[in-house]
Amino acid sequence: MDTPLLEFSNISKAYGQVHANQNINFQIHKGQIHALIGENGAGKSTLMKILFGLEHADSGEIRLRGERLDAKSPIEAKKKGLGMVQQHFQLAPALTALDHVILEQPHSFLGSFFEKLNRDEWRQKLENLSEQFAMPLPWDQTVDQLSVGLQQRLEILKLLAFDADILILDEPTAVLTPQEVDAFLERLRSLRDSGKTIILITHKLREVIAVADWVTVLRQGKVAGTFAYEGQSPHSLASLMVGKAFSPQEFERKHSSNEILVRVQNLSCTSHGVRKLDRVNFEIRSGQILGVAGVHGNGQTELIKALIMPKESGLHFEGSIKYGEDDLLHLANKDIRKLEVGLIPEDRLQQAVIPALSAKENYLLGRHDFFKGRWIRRHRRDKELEESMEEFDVRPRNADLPFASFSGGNQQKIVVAREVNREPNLLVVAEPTRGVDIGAIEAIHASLIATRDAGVGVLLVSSELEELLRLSDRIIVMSKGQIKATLLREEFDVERIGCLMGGEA
Amino acid sequence: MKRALLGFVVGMTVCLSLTWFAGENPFHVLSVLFKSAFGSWDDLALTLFYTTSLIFTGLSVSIAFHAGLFNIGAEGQLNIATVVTTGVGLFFTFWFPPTHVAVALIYSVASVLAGLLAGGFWGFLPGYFKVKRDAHEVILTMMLNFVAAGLAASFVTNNQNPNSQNPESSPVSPLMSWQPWDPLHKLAPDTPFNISFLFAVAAALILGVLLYKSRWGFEIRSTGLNEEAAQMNSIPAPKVKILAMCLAGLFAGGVALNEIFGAHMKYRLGFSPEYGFIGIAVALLARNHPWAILLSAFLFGALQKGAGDLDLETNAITRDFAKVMQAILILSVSSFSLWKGKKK
Amino acid sequence: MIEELLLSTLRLSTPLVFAALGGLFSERSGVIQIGLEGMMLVGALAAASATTFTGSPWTGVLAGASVGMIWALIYAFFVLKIKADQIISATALNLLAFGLCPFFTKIVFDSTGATPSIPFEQRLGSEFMWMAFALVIITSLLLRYTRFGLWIQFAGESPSALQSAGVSVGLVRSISLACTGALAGLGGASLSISLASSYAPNMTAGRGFMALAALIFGAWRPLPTFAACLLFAFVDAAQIRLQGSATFIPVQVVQILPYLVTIVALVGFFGHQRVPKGLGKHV
Repeated sequence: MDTPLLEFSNISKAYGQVHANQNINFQIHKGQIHALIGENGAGKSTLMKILFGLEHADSGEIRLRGERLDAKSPIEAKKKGLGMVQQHFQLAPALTALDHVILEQPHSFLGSFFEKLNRDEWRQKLENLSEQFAMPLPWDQTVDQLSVGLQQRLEILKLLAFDADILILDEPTAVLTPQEVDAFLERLRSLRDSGKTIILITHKLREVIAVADWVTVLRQGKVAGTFAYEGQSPHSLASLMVGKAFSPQEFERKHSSNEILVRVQNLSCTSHGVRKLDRVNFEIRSGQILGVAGVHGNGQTELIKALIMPKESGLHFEGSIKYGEDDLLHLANKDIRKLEVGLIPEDRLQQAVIPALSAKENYLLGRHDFFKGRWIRRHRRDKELEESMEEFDVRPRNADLPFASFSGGNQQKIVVAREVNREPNLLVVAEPTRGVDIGAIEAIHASLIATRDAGVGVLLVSSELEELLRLSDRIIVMSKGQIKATLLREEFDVERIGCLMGGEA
Repeated sequence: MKRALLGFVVGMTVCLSLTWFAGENPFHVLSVLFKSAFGSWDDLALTLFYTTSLIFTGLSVSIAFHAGLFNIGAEGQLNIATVVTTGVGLFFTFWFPPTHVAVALIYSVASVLAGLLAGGFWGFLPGYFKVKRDAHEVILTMMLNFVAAGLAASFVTNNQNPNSQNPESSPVSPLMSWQPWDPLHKLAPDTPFNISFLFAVAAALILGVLLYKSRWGFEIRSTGLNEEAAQMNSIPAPKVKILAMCLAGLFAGGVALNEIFGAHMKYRLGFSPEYGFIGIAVALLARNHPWAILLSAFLFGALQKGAGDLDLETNAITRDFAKVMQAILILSVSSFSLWKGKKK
Repeated sequence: MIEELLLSTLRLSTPLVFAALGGLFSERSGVIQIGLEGMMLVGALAAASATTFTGSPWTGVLAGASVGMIWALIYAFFVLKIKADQIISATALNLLAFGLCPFFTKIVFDSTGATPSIPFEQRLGSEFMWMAFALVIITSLLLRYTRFGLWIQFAGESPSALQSAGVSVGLVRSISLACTGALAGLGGASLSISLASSYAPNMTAGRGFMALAALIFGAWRPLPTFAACLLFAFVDAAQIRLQGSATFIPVQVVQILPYLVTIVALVGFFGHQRVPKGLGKHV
C-alpha cells in the first residue's frame, strides 16, 4: 500500500457557528471496504458531500491517486470515477429503471433533440452487467413498482454502468430488513473482490463488524480513530463513537397499572390492491409502553393513521379500535384528539408542526385545552410553554421565534413537551428521536418513561431497535402488515426480532 | 413590508418608463395620475369608491391565500353577488313595491344578504370541488368567471333598462337607496362614494383580528401553511379550505354593497374594471395582511382612478394601461419579496 | 349537417391543440402553466399585425410563434431565475398581455383594440389544422423516443435526478418553456389569421385555461390531451350552431356551455391521475 487511493488532509468545514468537520486527516486504500462511522451529526455526511463535490471545504485538500481532487460538482467527481448513493434516492417514480441508467450517459445538449434512444442496446448491456455482479433487476418496470431494495440496487447499478470504481454509500442499510442487509453486505464483499473501493457510511456497528477492512471513526467533526479492522469489540468502537464508555442509562421498571386501554381487533387496510394491514390484533395497556418493531413500510404508517386519523387518511379500514366506549375508526381526528390522545408523528416538519409559525403558535396544535370557544387561551399557553422550555432546556428560550429556526433536537423537545403536558391517556409516538442529538435523545426517552409511569398507555413505533429494547414493556413485530409476534420484556432478543422483521415466523 | 414597497417603487418606475416609450412624458403621466386620484375632494371620493371594492376583493383573495388556495375567481363571485343583489332588489321592486323607507331598508338588506350568499356559493363551488375531487382551483375559478359573466349578460338582456342605451338592468326602487341617510355620501354627493367604505374597513379590521387572534384564524393559517400537520392535529383541513373559499366569495360579494345600494341602484354590464383581478395585486402588496390591505387597496384605487383620466389626458395611453401597471406591480412586488429568502 | 359540425370541431380544436401541447411541454418539465392565455393573446396580436404589415400569413405564423416564445421566456426568467411563485407570475403575465395588447394597437393602429381586417386570400386555412395534428405526433415521439424527451420527463418527475446526471434542469425547463410559448403563440395565431380575420380584444376567451383543463383531462399525455381538445372543440362548435338555430335558449346561456363542460370534465373525471411529481418544485 504505497500511494493511498484517497487522502484527506486537514479538511475543515463550518456552517455558521457549527464546525461540521475539523482538520480531518485519513487515507482510503484501493480495493477495501472502508467504514466511516459516527453518531448522527458527527460530520460523516458533510465529509462525503465535500468529497463528491456537493459541498466545498473551507480549507484542506483531498488527493485522489496522489493528485489533488477538487471536485466542484458531482459531475466532475463522477468523471474521476467516484459514485455516490445518497440516503434519499434520486429516482423518478413514473419512469423505468432502464431510463434512469440512460439518463446518466453524458451527452451534448444540441444533439439531445435528435438522438433516438437506443433502449434495446442498453437493455442488453445492463442485463449483462446485472449478471456479472449478480444483481438482477426488472429493467422495464417503473421505479414505483420496485421495492426499496431494488431501487437501491438500481442506484448502485447506475454507478457500475459508468465504471465508477469508488462507491460511496450513505447509510445504505437503513431501508433494508435484517435479512436483506446480510445479502447486501455479501454483495458489497463481492464488489470489493472485483476491485471496487467502497466507502460505507453507517452508524450500525454490526455492519462494520461484518464487512469492514478499515474503519474511520468520526466524533463531533473530528477523526477519533482510523485503523485496520481486525475484530475490535463492538464495545470499543461504540466508545470511540460516543466518546465515553457506552452505557445507556437503564430505566427503572415499574409495574403500576395493567389495564387495557385500547383494544385493536382484526384491523385491516387495503390500499391500491396492497394489503397494508392484515387482521392486526393487539392491546395497549395503560402504564406500559408497547413497542412496534419492523422495517419501515410494513404497515406502521397505516397503523398510526388508523389510530389518529382514520377518516382523514383517505384509507379504508376494517375491524375496530376500542378505546373506552368509542371505536376510534369511526371518529374524526379532531374528536380522537379530544379524547386525550397525544401524537408525536414520525415526520416532524411535515406532520407535527408548521415550521413557518412561531413556537407559541405551534404549541397550540392539537391542544383543545388551549381554546375557549373560538378564542385562544394565550396566558395559559404561554405559561405552560415557558415551563416546558425550562424543563426540557430548549434553546434559544424564545417562544416567539419561528419554529424552523430551532435545531432538530430542540424542535422535537417542544413537540414532546406539547404532547406529554396535555396529560394524555394514550400517547402515539413514532420515531421520536430521528435526526436528534444525543442530549435530546436522553431527555426525550426520560420524558416518555415518566409519561408511562404516570399511567399513560404509549404506542412506540421506531426503526431503531435499540430504542425499542430500551423503552418498551412489550414489543410487537410487524412484517407485511401482519403482527408476527408479541414479546414480553424478558423475551426480548435482537436475533429473534430481526428474523421476525424479515417475515420469518 | 419594506421589500414590498421597494418592489412597488421599482414597478412604478418600469410602468412610467413604458409611457415614455409610448411617447408620453412620464412626469406628466405621474402628475395626471396624482391629480386625478387626489386632485380634488370629488376625485378623492371617487378614489375611495374604487378603494372600497378593492378592499373587498383584496380580502377575498387574501383569505383564500391564507388557506393555501389561489382565488382568481373573485371577479365571478362579485359579478354573481351583484346580479343576485340587483335581481332580488328588482323582485321586491316589482312584486312588493316598498311604500315606506323602513320597509325599503329591510328589502335592501335582504337583497344584499342574498347577494353575499350567492357570492359565497360561487366561492364554495371551487372550494368544494378542490377538496373533494382535487380539481385545479385556478381553472375552476377562471371558468366560473366566464359562467358568471354569461349569466350576468343574460340577466341584463332579460331586465334591460328601457330608459337607457347602455347594457344595464332596470333600477331598483329609489326608496331602497342608502344615499338619503348615508353620512359618507353627504361628504361628496356628486360621487358614488358611500357608506360601504366603512363596511369594508370594518371587515378588514375584524378579519385581521380573527385571523391572528382567534382559533378560526389559526386553523386557516395552519391549513394553508401545512395541511398535513393541520389534519393530524385536530384541524379539519378540508372543511377549513371550503369555508375559506366560501368566505372569499362572500367578501368579493361585498362589492355589491358598494355598487348597488350604495351607489348605482342597478346592474351595469361591465361595471367592474376587473376588481377581482386587481384584488390579487392588492393582496400581494399587502402580504395578505387584512390591515395592510386597507393601504394597498387605496394605492390601487388611486391607480385605477388615475388610469381612467390618463385615457382622456394623453394620446397613447388607454384605460387598459391600468392592467399593465397592475401586472408589472404584481411581478415586481412578488419578485422583490423573495429577496429576503435569497440573502439568508 | 353532422359533417359540417365535425369539420368545424376540427377547425375549432386547432388553437386548443396548440395551446394544450404548449402546456404539456411546460408541465411535463415541471413548470406550472396557467399563463397560456396570455401567450395566446400576444401570439394572436403579433400574427395579425405581421400579416397586416407584410401581407403574408407565414410571417404572421413566424411572428406569433416568436412573440409567444419571448413571452414564455419572460415567464421563465421570473419563475426559474428569480424563483417567483409560478401561479402568481403567470396570472400577472396574463394580465399584462390583456393590458399591453390594447396599448400596442393604440400606438400602432390607432384603434381601440382590434387590428385591421385581413383579406381572405392572406389568411391561412387548414394549414394550421394539419400543423397542429402533426405536432401532436411529433411531441409524442419526441417525449418517448429522444434524449431531450427523457430530460423533459426527468425535469418534471425528479429534477434532482436530472441535476445529478449533469444536465441543467434550468436549461431543460427554459427550452421546454420556449416550446410552450411558441406553441401557444401559434395557437393564438391560428385564432387571429385563420379562424378570424383579425385580432380582436380578449379573443382567446379562456381558451388558454381550457387547454390546460384538456391537458389535465388528458393526463398530461399528448394523444389523450388531443382527444380532450376535440371534445371541448366539439362543444364549442355545437354551441355556435345552437346560437344560430335554437332561439328558445338565450344566447348568453348557450355561450357558457364550453366553460361548463370544462368544469364538468375537471370535476367529474379527474381522479387519481398521475400528476408530474416535480411540478412546481425547484431543484
